[in-house]
Amino acid sequence: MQLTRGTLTTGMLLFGLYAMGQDTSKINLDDIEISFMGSYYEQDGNHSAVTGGTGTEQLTNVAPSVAIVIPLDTMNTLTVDAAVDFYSSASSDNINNPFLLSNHVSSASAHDSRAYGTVGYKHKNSITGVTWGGFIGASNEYDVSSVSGGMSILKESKDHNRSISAKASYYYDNWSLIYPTELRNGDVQHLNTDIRQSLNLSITGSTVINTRMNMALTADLISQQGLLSTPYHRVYFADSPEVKVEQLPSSRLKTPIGLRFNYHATDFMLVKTFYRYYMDNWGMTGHTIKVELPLKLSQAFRVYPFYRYSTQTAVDYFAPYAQHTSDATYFTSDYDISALSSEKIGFGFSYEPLYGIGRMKASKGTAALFKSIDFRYATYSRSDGLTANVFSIGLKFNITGRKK
Amino acid sequence: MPYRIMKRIKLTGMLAVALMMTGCMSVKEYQKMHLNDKDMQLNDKPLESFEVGFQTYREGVSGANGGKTGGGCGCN
Repeated sequence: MQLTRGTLTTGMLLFGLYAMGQDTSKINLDDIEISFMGSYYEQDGNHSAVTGGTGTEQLTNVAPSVAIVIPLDTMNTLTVDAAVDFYSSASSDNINNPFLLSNHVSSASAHDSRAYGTVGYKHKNSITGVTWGGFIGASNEYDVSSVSGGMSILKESKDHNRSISAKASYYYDNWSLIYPTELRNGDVQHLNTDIRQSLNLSITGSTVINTRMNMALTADLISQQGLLSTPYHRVYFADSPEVKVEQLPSSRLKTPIGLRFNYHATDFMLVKTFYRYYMDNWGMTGHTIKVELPLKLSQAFRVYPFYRYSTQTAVDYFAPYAQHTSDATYFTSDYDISALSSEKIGFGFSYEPLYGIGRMKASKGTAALFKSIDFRYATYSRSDGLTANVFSIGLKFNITGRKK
Repeated sequence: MPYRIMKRIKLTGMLAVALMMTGCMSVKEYQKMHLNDKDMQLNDKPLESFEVGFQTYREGVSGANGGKTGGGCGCN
């Protein structure tokens, strides 16, 4: 008994000395996550709105981006996203290439770039289960500059089985009104504003159903005001040789509802589904379904084939090339808002070993961990003949061992 | 605001509240091995954002998927 008591006392003394020797003023911080992503997109079709609903839609786009998540402490997180689109577009070149003139030539591609970025902040209170956040952003390209901002709040149940969140975001776009070359006539303006404002409200509820299923319901309310026509979209008419700039109403209200349902069916297969019903006040309704089947081939390696189908009705103001009447108030030949269906099919894979792909020591006890690699390919076809392919790759790194 | 849109917003609100109030089963943290799988997250993968972006421009239907729903152009 004496021996046991002595051993215990000595042990406590040693532990006390060890604890005093530790720097208790520092706490471990979560890893910084850095994701580098890149995408290559190509499309071709024959219904460009730049040339009145007929003509090439050939486009290629290369888009590198980076997303950084920085935990500032146990409650606050900073996020930074930045990306650039480098694109070449044959239809953009046709803005300065009058389609109906005898000197029209098959266009070489026009080149441009678009840069955009956002900075976000989140504060999570683990006791109340409330997370709130905000973001600001900006984007710039040749004819449009945009600023944005938003707020979000999320409330989780105590058992983390249910949550409800709300998000509001606002975009202010300032356009340079670049009309088709044959419609540039001094100070004549074909559109009465160069500002577009978008207000998006979103509410999402999610719940765990059982140990293998969860689901979420999202309802958005999207209000757009101002310039909703695209200034370089031409429209040709059935009863007149005149060409005009696309004219659309100055407000649009979109009300999509989306439902997600995930099922961890077996230890090596999951089923992810998404359904959306869409309606707006321009007369368009639509349905979208998506199914993805992630397959765990090993602890680290997964493949996920996916399929998406979407269908929509046309807006009230759409008619194909040279089928509008010239006395209409609103008219467009933009096939993106015509009646169509689309299919997307593809696959992706991810490789994420438990302890990362590689590790490199950095300064002050931190290390850079090459965490995972992802690849994704999709082929897309629209019922009006437009086809597209998109390749995406993502590399994820973590900065580990940070203290504060 | 059109009556049918208001009706749909109300219906969605009621559905969301119903969903929140009827947690189908109370799952404990130690039972969440499958739910914590990265592919069980109720949103799109970050790498899918490029596809969500081009679909927003190539189709009239958009939204309710956590992706971008307005602002900026990128509409070539």
